[in-house]
Formats: sequence, C-alpha cells, structure tokens
Amino acid sequence: MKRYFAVALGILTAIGGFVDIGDLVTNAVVGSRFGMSLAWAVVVGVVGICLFAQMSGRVAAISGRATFEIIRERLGPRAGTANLVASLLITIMTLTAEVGGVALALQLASGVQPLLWIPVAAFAVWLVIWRVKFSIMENVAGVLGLSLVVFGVALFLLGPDWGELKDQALQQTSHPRETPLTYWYYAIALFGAAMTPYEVFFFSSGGVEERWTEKDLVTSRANVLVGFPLGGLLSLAIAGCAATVLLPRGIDVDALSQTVLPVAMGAGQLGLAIVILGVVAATFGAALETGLSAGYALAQFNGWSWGKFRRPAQAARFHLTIIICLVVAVLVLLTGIDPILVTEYSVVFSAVALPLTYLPILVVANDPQYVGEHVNGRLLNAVSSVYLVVILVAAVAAIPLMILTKAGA
Amino acid sequence: MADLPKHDSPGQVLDLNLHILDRQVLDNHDVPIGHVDNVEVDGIEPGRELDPDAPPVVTSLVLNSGLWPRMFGGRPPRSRMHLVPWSAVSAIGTAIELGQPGSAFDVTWSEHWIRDQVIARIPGGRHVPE
Repeated sequence: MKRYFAVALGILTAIGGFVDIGDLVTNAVVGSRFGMSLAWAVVVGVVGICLFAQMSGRVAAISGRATFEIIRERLGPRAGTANLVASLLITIMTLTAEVGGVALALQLASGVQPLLWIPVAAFAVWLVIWRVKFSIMENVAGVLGLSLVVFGVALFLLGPDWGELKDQALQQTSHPRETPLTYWYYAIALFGAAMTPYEVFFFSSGGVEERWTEKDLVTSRANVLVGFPLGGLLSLAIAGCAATVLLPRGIDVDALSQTVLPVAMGAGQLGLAIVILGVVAATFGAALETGLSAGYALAQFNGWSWGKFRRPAQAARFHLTIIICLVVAVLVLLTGIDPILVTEYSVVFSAVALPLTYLPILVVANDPQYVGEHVNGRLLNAVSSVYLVVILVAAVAAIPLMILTKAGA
Repeated sequence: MADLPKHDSPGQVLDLNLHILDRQVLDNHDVPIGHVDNVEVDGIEPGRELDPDAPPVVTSLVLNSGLWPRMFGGRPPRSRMHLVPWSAVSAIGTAIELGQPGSAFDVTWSEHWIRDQVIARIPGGRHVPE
C-alpha cells in the first residue's frame, strides 16, 4: 500500500512539477499566435524529457552518480567546462525567470508591484532550500502545482470547437500574420521549454538525495513515463485555452495576466483564484528546483560535498553557490527587466545547451560499470540516437533563427 | 575493451584516462571531496627509454588544482597543488574512495573556510533540514 502511495505521489508531483514559467509563457504565446499547430513540438519535447530523465534517473539510482559528475567524467576538462558555464548561465537565467514569475503571480493576486515581491519571493525560496526536507519540499510544491489542471477544466467550460483545434494540430492551417521562420523558432522554444536541462540535473540529483536504489527504478520510471506526459497534456491545455480565447481576438501574450485570462473567462473567479495559486506553486517549485540545480551543477562538477540530505554546514560551498545565484537573480530582476522576456530567451538557450548534457548520459546509460545489467536496450538506443540528431539540429538552428526572427517578433 | 594489452600481474587493469582522470573522489564516509584533475607519475625522464622492468608509477592524485594547466599547459607551483598520495586510495569504482576522512586532505580547506566564515554563522546552518 505504501508503495502504491509512493508511486501515486511521485506521479502527482511529476505532473505538478512539469509545468514552470517557461511552459506557461511559451505555450500561451504559441497558442495565441499559431493555435494548436505546434502541438507536435510539445509532444516531441515530452518524449525527449522522458528518455533523458529516465536514463539519468537509472544511472543515479544504480551508480549513485548524478548528472554533472558524469558530464565532467565523460567530457573531460574542456568540453566539460564549456558545458558547466553554459548550463549554469541558463539555469541562473531560468531561476531569474521563475522568481520573476512568482512575483508576477503574486502581483495578480495582490495588486502589489512585482518589484516589491521579488526580494520576498527569493528569500522564501532560500528559506525553503535552507530548512525544509527534500521530500516535503518536492511533494508540497508538486501537489499545489496540480491546481494548474484548472487550465484543462477551463478549456472544457469554454466549450471550444474541438474539431477546429484538432484541425489546427493535424492539418497545419496557414497563419497570415506569421512567417515560416517564426513557426520554427517557436517550435524550438516549445522543445526547449519541455526539455530544460535543469529538470535533468534536478531529477538525477533528487534520486541521490532520496537515496534511490535498484528497487526504486520502477517508481522512478512510473514518475517519468506517466507524470511527464500528463504534465505535457497540461501544457497543451494552456495552449488550447490561448488558441480558443486569444487567437480569434488577436490578443498577444506579453504578460502573465493574458496567460490566465482564458481561465477567468471559462471558469470564473474561482477558476482565477485556483490558477493563480497554481502559477505561484509551479513557479515557486521551479525556482526551488533551478536554485538547487545551479548548486548541484557547480558542486558536482568540482566534486564538492552537496545535497539537502546534509546539514548546510556539511555542504557549505553548495549552499553558498545557491545563495549567490539567488542574489544574482534578484539583482537582475531589480533592474526592471521583464521576467516574461527572460523566460522567452531562457527556453531557447536551453535548447542550445542540450546536446552536451544529453550525450554523456546516453553514453553512461550503456556502460555496465555504471548501470550493471540495466544498460539501455536496443530500441531505447535507437530512439535515443534519433533524439540526439533532433537535439543537435534544434541546438544549431536556435541562435540563427533567433537572430533572423528578431526573437520571434 | 579489445585493444587493451594483456597484463600478467593479478588485479584490476585500469585505464588512467578512462577510470582515474576526472572521477569523483569520496572520503571514508562517502563525502565528496574533489575531482581528479591530474595525476603525478614517477619514473619517466625526458629523453630516456622506458624500462619495462621498472614501469612508471602513479604516486599522487592532483585534486581540484590541475584543471587550468591541463587545458592550457604549464605547471602550477607544487605548493598550489592539492596532492593525495596513491596509498590513500582504498577502492576504485564509479568513484575513487579514500580510506581517511576528508579533513585529512588540504583540498577541503575552502569547504572548511566557507563553512566556518559563512554558512555555520547563518541561523540553522548546523541543523538538518526538517
């Protein structure tokens, strides 16, 4: 019974934890501009994150080695350092976006300026990382994040033309206001939003934090293979809401209020209250994950002592890294930069950094010294190799497309 | 693994590049203390053929202080390198395990300094998260 409960709880937190500010913003932007015609990019991204998280979770459970220890070990000093710098920059950028997202959501709830909420949100994030046990932190944030299911409820209550949404997704109707370049730019953005590198750092390090062993492989696989696709469905519901309400009215998404507007229209005031709770929980949860991930990445690369299962004094450099990253995020946000803009850039840069993280995991998931008998099967290796190509193409194309489309403008 | 040379001596055959360099180093309580940045090898003199009867020996691991020279060349002064004698190594798997606590090695000084000066001074820094 306890085991089923653990599996169910893991799946629920995986769903609630899947959506972060990147998914909230990118899916709403895409829904409002392209309808459901980029739904395939979400599906491709979700399958990718499942492959990636499943492999790194297996390596962590059996060898006890988290992702960045493996990156350092397999890529060596040069490529490893390049990956560290890129991953840290993107993770700090994502952390900035998440803290900004918490502030924006609290502004929606309270009317108080986000600039005042930013230091409060960052301090709360630090306090939770400093004092709260890993499992409690993960479960509370994940379960509260589930309130985002209200996007799906709102979509039903809005009563859209389902045939129309299906046609948009399958028949690729033309978009008179868009060019093919912006279409592909946003395809990469959605891919990057679903496959953010920090999710993998967090997932594998979390496995070490919770002392997974071979026995936990089933639980971890269920979390990934059921939780993440359901989280992806939530992403599609966000896009669907935007496609139903914002697209026909020609409303562009440039603030969080437009992302939640369809919920207010479909599910009324109660829906709005629930969705704001969900956005706060999802962005706060993701801020915890990105803050920890920045610490995990630097500590694991350097071989420092890390982890929330230790007292902060026994992982001093790890905790100092997190504090510095949070201070940087607050300082960046206090310049008055728009968190939505930071989010839009962070998801695209995520796609750029993916290959250097994906490749070492794929190699080690085939190494019996690390995973014993649980090496990748042939089918998994075939699919993973196809994904390696997809990830490489997306990474190479991202920056040129960003320049050519002026970041999707 | 096919092209590894046959070895007569009993025990484990390790590829220095694959199994030692850039591996995580743990102390005797499984606490991470560093990564192997480089190794010190004794028994190689420039310009002299290697003697098969007295092969070169790895004497020390260089932890967290040899990445820069490995990338860009050069050699840091010995006082700047954190050396761990090979004799301290107790096991080699997906990580290299040492037989002594981390505080026995000077590579952990920055951890101790940051702990004493910063982290332990913040309230709650010495408590387990609840």
